[in-house]
Amino acid sequence: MVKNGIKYIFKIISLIITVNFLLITILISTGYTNQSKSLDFFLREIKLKQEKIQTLICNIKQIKKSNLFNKSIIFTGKIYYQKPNNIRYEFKYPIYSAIIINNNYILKCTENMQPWKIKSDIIKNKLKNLNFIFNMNDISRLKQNFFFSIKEDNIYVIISMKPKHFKKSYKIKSIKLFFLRKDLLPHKLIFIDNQNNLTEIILTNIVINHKIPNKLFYKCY
Amino acid sequence: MLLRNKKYIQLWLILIITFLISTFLCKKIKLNQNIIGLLPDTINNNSLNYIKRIGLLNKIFIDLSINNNSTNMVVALERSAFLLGKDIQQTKIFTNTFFKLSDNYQLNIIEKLLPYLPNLTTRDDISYINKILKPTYIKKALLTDFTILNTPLISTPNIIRLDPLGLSKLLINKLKQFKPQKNAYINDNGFLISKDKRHILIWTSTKLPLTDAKNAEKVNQLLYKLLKKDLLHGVNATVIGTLPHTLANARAIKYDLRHLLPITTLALLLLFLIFFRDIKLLCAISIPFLCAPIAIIITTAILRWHIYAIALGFGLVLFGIAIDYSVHIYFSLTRTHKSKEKVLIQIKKPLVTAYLTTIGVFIVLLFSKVPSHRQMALLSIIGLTLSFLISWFLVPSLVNPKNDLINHKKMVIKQINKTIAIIRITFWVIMITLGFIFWSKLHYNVKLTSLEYIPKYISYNEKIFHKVWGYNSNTIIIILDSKNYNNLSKTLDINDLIYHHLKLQNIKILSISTILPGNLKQFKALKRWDTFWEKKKYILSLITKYADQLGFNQSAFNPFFYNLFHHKILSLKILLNSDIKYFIKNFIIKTKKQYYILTIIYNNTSNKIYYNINQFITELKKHIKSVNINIISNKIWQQKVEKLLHSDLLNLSIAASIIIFIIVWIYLKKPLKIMAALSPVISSLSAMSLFSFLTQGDINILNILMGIMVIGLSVDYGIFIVSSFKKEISESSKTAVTMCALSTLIGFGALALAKHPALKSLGITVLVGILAAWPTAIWIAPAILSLGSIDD
Repeated sequence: MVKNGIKYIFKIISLIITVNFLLITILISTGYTNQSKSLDFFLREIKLKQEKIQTLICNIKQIKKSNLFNKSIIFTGKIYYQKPNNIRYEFKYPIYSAIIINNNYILKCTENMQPWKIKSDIIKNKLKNLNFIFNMNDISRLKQNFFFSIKEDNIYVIISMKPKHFKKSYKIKSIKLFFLRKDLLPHKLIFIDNQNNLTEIILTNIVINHKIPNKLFYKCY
Repeated sequence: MLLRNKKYIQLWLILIITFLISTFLCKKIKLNQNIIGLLPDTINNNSLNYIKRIGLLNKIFIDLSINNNSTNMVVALERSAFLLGKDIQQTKIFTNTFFKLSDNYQLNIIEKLLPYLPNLTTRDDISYINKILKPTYIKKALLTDFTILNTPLISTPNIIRLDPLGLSKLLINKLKQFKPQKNAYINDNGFLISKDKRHILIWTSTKLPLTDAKNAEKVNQLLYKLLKKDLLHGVNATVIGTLPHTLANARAIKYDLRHLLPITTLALLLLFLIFFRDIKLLCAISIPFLCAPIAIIITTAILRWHIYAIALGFGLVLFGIAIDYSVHIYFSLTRTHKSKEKVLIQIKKPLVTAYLTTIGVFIVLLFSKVPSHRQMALLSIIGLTLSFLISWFLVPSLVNPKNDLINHKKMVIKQINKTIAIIRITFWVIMITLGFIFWSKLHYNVKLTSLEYIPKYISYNEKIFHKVWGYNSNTIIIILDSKNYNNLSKTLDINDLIYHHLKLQNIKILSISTILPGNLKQFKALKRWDTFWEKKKYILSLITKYADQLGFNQSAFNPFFYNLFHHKILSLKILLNSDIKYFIKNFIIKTKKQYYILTIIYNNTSNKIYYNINQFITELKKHIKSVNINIISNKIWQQKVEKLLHSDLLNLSIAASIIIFIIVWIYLKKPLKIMAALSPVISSLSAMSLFSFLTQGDINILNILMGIMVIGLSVDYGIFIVSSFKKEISESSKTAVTMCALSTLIGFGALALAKHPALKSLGITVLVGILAAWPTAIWIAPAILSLGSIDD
């Protein structure tokens, strides 16, 4: 009797475990499929949009919140982008500073200082990610190092990236890319580092396919 | 008929049983295959043992390479290096493996070591800081920090907090000297890579000594397995270090022995079957071979079971000449009408003289500075003595004079016509004159590498390795030995002293002193630092002021301010916890008992620098007893070895010649007979010098060593011929000498075909020496004797 009773209890327990397991599996797979479907959908849409962009010029406002500063530091300037890998982040206020990326050539310019050619592959690769918001062709490379997720609201489609291996992430905790829902143009980037320092870059007055002088992609001034 | 006497049967039985027991015991002998036994003792104690102890000989460099530096191939190269490095690291046999530094190693190293910058600053550093710390510089530095912090995706706040003024440049400069190869750099992924991105270097050490062939084979098998498993398509590996050399040499010797031994055995058998066809002679010849394992057991017991393989090999070959005794006894007994007892009495004197001359040579070798020479000599002495005694007692048991008498009339030595004798002697004098002329012109090559088998692929790989990695073999190494673990701090202080002395002399060095000074130097540096910053306190307010203007908060640079005035002693442990541990371990070596600290002086081409440093070290040693200081230079070390071996072998040759002369003089007394007995020796020496001059233009260590042996061997021919002339022994000594010479020529001469230069050298020396000594004994010695009367 006792023996049969124990057997019965075990049967019930194993049934509950199996049912739960199946439920969890179904839930996870459904959720995963839904999410990856919408992520892929938006990435494809964004990519299609970006294919039409040859050049892009916009104003930028960078807000830095760091434990090193008394208050948020605001930098303003312009971004110049030219397909496929030329980009110029140019801040004019409060001091002049720029990052110029021309394929593998990266130059750092600071007011009243000699231009500084960046040689380190780590920093180069990190800075090259800056053009990601304008060119999603590199997504497969980024997918090796980042987990992607997507969120949408009435205004934005937000793509979040979190490093797979925190150590290899060059101390970046997360990256968020905000695309405007109406036209899928980039609007905002948010980087958070491992010390919770936050950098927010807001893009306004975007002009597409306007001719950009070539010298902007290899000269500081 | 044979072995009629019961006593003889017992003796043969004892010999065979002892042979069997010894053969069984021989299996238990552990051979030392270390090539270090080839070097003089004095050198071993001072330099090579240090090199051995600190494991330099056990270091393995693996150069991974690709043919083109396309991005995909570079990725494959890095991946292979990673997989291989990881696997090597996990294998117990290997230790101190370097294949890559950690991710973000640059920042990690600076973050870890920056707080210790005050401990490392020199007077020059302080004057540099003093020079740059102007308001404009501070403003610029803070502005740079500000823009870096505001560069998207770049996040280095920790470094900026620790070093807002960019003083880490001083630290980086100190670390830069540890970049071990000038044609290489450490890439961002942490690999040591060549400038053209086609090579990655991995290094490791083995726990097993790689100068031992068995260990080398074991390590090679393991390494080969890992390489096969981990290398991706298109990635090649080259192994550099002691390993390929030990393997190549061991394999060449094995190859030679495998191919030459059957040839020699077959040739000896043919010689016997064609010319002698005498089973009893074969028994007589077998005596030295039966004595071999007995001699080995006795020798190894005396040496406490520690014998070099090379000594055993050469020693066995050398005492193989013992067949001369049994051959001569056998020939004397079988080619005479005299009674056995009378023959034995007659033969006793020349045989003992021949034995003494040979033994004399080996006794001289017992005083060699080279351990393997001494062991070889001991083995030869024991083997020869055993063979001599056993031949003396047992060979007569093989002979029944009535049945075994052989017609020997054709081979008797007769008085030669004086004109013919003079013609022969004239030719001989011309030959020896030429020999002595060329002797003076011979270059003495004592380079050990000339005896090493270096296949072309090893030379090529090493050439490429030196080209890619800029390695220079002209180095001087100063080794400080802490004697015990507690003495490290003191040893580091002495290391600082040496560093300063060499720096003052503008000698280019690599020293741990710049990155890990001793406590004394650290205290001095900290005092200097504090005094400086006491005077420059206003700079701190300037930093605060400018930082505030840029928007930095008040605590932004607190870590920097804290480290300016709060100090801790920098210890080895801290360095070993950082990424530079791989390089530190090349300079501070921890063994079971103590630490060794190395200072390396590169590109030393002149001996003057060495002697200068040596003088300083000798002076230092007088005042410092707590630490051992040693100086090693590849070049000087080689020169010293060469010089020592040269003088050792020269002294031994002279001593051997004197001993032989004295023994022959005591036995023969008359100058003409002495000259006749020594004529084969003179011929063999002349022939060896002539041959060496005409072929290689120099003589090497082995030529001389074997030369000594040829002296001992050829003098026997002379003694037997003269004795035969004196009718003390069988007049058919020519046949006996011919038989001995031919067997020696076949036995050793085959080695002239060897692949390994040492064996080849040995073979050629004996071949040339005996080829000259044998005809001299047969034709010239009688000719010399014919110049006088028999009684002379």
